[in-house]
Amino acid sequence: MPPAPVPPDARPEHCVRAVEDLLGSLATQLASASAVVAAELPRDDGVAPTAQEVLTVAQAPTREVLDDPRVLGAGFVAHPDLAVDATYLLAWWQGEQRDRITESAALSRSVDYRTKEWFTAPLDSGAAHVTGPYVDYVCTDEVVVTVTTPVVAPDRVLGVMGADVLADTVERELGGVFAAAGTCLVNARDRVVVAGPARVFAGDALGPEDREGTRLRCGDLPLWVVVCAWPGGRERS
Amino acid sequence: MDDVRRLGARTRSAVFAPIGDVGRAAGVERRLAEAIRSGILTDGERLPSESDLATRLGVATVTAREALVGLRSRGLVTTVRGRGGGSFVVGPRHDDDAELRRWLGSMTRVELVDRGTLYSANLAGCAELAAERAVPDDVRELRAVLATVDDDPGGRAPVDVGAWRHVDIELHLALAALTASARLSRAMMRLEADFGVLLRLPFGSDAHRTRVRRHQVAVVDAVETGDAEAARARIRRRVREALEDLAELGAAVS
Repeated sequence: MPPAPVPPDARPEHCVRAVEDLLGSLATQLASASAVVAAELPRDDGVAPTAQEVLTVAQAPTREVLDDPRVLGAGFVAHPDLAVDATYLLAWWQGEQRDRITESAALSRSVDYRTKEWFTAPLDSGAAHVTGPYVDYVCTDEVVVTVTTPVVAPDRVLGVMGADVLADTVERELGGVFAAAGTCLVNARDRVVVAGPARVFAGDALGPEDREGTRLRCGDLPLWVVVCAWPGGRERS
Repeated sequence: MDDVRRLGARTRSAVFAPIGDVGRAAGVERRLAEAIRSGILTDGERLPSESDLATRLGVATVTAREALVGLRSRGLVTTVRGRGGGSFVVGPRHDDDAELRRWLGSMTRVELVDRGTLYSANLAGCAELAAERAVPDDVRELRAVLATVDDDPGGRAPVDVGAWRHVDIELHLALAALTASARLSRAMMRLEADFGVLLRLPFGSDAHRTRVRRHQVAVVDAVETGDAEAARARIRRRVREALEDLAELGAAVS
């Protein structure tokens, strides 16, 4: 799917819409996948599921998220207390072939993902979260943007549903409209996700002077379109 | 070939230093290919004979021959038979910036800044160590590298952009060599191939060249006074500025 055409008179509102089309719709899909997993995972007898049961439950709802070729990988990440026979459990599929990430590949780096922003933030807020761009060591070793939604049962936390999009892909999809509007997309940590002006790069931190300006929130996502005060570049003195 | 384009002995001897056990033919080929792409070995230059190459790299003659066959098939060297013959470097056409611009235009800024950050962090580390380690003779050599081209904005002579690019490579590899780490120096050579050609694409602009020259002089000054922090910061700024100029160029192309 090619990026939507950029209107020549693009305004910040167009940027908001483009973000909602790409990341907002992904968050919506993940939220419905989360609901499926949350409904099917707890067993009636109250016994903790096995890793294999978790994989089986997570696979079908994940497949729909993976239908979008812009998604690099997606799946369900279990809370360490969830499965009876696994601590760190990734039901995650990625790449062209949508192969499952094996335990050994991801966990040989002994990554305890309980402290990761993409894991904690949606569980803390109870809503979709967007992390990055950041270097993801757990699955891809690439610079990615990750959307995650909480998966919770009435009495406990089960994990998160998530999807990775390459930062490269995000730029190819959204860069045009942000460049035309002269705006940047920033995340909850005030870091640039998509840079409109040429002299700003994704990953740059927003300076104090830029936090004052106009910003538009992208729906319910913790992402804001800001009108940049630094088109001349950030690190020049 | 004009003298300005000749590289310093240190850089060149790194290219021909013993390659060890890990390399063999593929290693020889890779090292020479990187040197050709990054401009350390220049277009039209004659490579040492197979047996000389083998001796200097510390590999068997048959290994050197195999590497040359590989380079030939990649179009990076050409072999002329008979008297006065030998293997000659076929350098990238740096005058053909159009090719580089197309590459830049097809690249996302995420990728550009990714390459640039790796380059910048390595080179900044080199500059920091160079500032801690350099003795006055080293500084003299660095200044001699810079002196091979003149900053003469608005001057009458046409600017030799290739020579400017060459001096910049030479300076960066000399900073790497001052760390006395062969691995770090080889890493910088690989990064020259990965990003160096892009870094120096904006050299056609007078304003860009003038700014780069200021940074080059400031880095050497910092090395001279042993100010590692200033050397590091200057390299970071020099690369960031180039990234910003490149992003503007890229936006104009795509």
